[in-house]
Amino acid sequence: MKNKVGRDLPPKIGNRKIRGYQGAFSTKPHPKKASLPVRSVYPGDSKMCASLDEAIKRAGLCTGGTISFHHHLRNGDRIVNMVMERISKMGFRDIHVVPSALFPVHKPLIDHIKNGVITQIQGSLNGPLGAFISQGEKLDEPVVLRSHGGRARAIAAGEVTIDVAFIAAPIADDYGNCNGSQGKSAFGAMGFPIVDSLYAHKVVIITDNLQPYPVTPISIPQTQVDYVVCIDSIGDPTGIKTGTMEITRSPARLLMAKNVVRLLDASGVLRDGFSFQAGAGGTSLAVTQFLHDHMKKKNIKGGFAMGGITGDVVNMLREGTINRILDAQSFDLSAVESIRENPNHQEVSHIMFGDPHTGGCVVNRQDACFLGATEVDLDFNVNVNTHSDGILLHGIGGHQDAAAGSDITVILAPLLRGRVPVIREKVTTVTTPGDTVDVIATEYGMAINPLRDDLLDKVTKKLPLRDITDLYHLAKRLAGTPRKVEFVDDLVAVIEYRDGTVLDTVRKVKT
Amino acid sequence: MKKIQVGTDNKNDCLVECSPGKKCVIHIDSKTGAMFEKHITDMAKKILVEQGIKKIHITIQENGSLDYVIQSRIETALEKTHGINVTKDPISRKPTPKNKARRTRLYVPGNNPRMITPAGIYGSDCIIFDLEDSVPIHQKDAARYLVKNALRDLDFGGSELWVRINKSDIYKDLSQVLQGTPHGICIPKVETPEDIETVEKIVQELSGQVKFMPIIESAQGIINAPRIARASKHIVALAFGAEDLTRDIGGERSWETLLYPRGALVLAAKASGIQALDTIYPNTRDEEGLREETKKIKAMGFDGKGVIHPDQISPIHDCFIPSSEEIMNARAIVKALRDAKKKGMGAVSLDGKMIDEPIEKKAKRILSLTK
Repeated sequence: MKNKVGRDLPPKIGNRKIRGYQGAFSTKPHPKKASLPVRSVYPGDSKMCASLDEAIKRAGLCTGGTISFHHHLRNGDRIVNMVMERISKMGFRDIHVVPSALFPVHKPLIDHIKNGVITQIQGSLNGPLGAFISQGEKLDEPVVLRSHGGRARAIAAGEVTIDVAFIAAPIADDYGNCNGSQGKSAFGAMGFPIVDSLYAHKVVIITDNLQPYPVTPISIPQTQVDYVVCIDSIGDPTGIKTGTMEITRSPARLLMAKNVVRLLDASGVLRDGFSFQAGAGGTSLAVTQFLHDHMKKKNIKGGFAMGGITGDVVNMLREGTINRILDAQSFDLSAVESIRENPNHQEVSHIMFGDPHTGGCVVNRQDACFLGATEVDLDFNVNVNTHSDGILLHGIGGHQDAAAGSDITVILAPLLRGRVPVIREKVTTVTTPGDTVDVIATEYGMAINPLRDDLLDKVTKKLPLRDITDLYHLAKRLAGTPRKVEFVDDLVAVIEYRDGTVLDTVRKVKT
Repeated sequence: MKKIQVGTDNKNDCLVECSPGKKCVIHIDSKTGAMFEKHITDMAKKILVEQGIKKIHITIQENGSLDYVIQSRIETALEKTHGINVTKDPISRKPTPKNKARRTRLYVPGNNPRMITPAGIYGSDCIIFDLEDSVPIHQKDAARYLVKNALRDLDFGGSELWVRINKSDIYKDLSQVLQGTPHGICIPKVETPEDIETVEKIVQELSGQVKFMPIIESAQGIINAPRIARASKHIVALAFGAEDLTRDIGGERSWETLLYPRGALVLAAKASGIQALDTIYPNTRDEEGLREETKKIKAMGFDGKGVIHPDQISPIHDCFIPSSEEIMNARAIVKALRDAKKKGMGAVSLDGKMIDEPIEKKAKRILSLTK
């Protein structure tokens, strides 16, 4: 069966019947959500557990159970490794893990996969775990990759049932009220675990900062919490900011960023009330800074920024260039401070951020978003999951959600990475479908999706616009045609679209 | 033959190592080897076959370098190991008009692939690939081949392409870079008309056809500027180099120190009907200072300024945008000339003022800058 982005899909993967991608807004959702678990906690009952082992036991985890984690501490997280080690020591096997994302710091999970403690993963894989899975050892089922909004949707729809959610919190009380922005390990918004805590059968809050009842402000309320554990440290918040979050210094990429601001200006969206989402990649950060300069110069009062929030966006709020920040995930410590101190910096869950099957998510209200890519193709499809050598290295993030919702979706991508062309005839893996992507910006010029002739009409001749096929041929002329990667038939991952249909699969690389 | 190394392990570059061998062995060491190993091996083989080399060990440690870089590094290596000068027929390139706008000329270090490859995207009027001061002595050979192949292989958009050669290595530099047919050659440290004649002779010997831009950067050069400007019909501009000049006269770099030399250079250039191009502005982070200096040199009669960072290009272009008054005036002049021509009138005047040749030229230049 071929889906709308032309990918061949099997009718079934494991036990799961596959529905192929039909278009960004074409698939009707199931009319009912999953039912919420019932809890009963009476006067005098204690939720406190003396150890992780006790919490795991009381939560009733069994072999074959499904557990979840969040990645707000990103590469500074300690919880995932700690909990998995206890689970393994306690003798559980065949655990299904549903993290929002895993990072290089979670490399020890490779051993748990090898010895059968972990047999399924549904979540983003960044770094060594992805490489391990695309080259070798197989889990029982292929990894399921979802966007942030798609993960929230799948949990709410009951497509994923979480038995126990382990939620790291930098401050909590003994009844489980907690938030993400206070304490030595503060990481800011709690966009992911707010969702997990709603639907998981058992919720364990793990904190390193137990404070007297009641802790406020409340991001996750006591009504959704079963157990609380206090440990020495949940992680190192300086690990939130990873290497990709430095503004680019390359003149070529800065030029690219400047041209994107010129394009937005020409398109007419840069007016009072302008709203946007910017990623944390070096070029996205540059776009944010140039946007800020431009809006200040032209005295434009922006509406809101959604994120993935960085210090640059915080500066826009501080200086009055934008009115509000909606934050599902804080990307640096300046964002953490802002969400704690500034009432106009509002925490939102990933349901609100990007779940397509709700009463409307934030991305629907975005004028523009600036996203990265490892590959882009002639149909404007984008790949952020696999490298051109076929190895699975990144999660989807909010890519699909932002692209689908925003009026103007801009992909920032150099024409070549090293000598590897970024613009391909067909991307290795479809992460985000081309019908939701409007502009590909390279340092050699920008291509506008022919589907957006309204946008083409608006932008002036003075912008460096080029046809996507021109850019493709230019890259090919500079670098030659790379040899095709060879795969074997084994599926290692499924790329789900945010509505639950399947966009693409990732196969094992031939070694 | 001894073991040699050419290139660097920097991003977008490659390190080529050659050593003696009993047969031809090519080894590729690359992160993207799976995608490009065969392509790169074939390219290397082709060069070796063309040069008739059958016994050699080559290791190419590749870090995201394009074909022109790998080719250049191999060619440089073969010069060192076998004394071979790889030469190719010059490519063809459309010449540019003598009075083309040269508001900005971006200096690009000649041995840095990372800077050379994207040099055309910034929209500077000229690009100067530099073999001189920005290239360390031991990299001069490598830079020559790299600039040659960049000129042959890459498309730099609408920029006029120049190469700044070394005064001490004129023949070697020209014999390589003329194969890439640059639009022009920047001749550094020109002090006398004979300096130009020496270069012109070698260009003729190599059957090259290029424009010249002498760089005046010494007391002697300033004094001889009027004669230098007339030394060849291929000279389209005099460029001013403030750093070396300041050192030469033993002064300190300031607007006042440089005022006379700048004035002398503008007069010399304009008396010969060519452009005067100002020195670079050294502080790349001081946009305000750059704008201020550009406005001043424009007022003195300069036609452009040197650029050492792409960020400096658009501020300079901004400064050279004619005011709306200048544009309207220029349009009126051109229209008056056209009307007079239709009527067959010889002398033309506008609002009572005679339009002579310099006024006509200036009006046309202003209009060309608005395009």
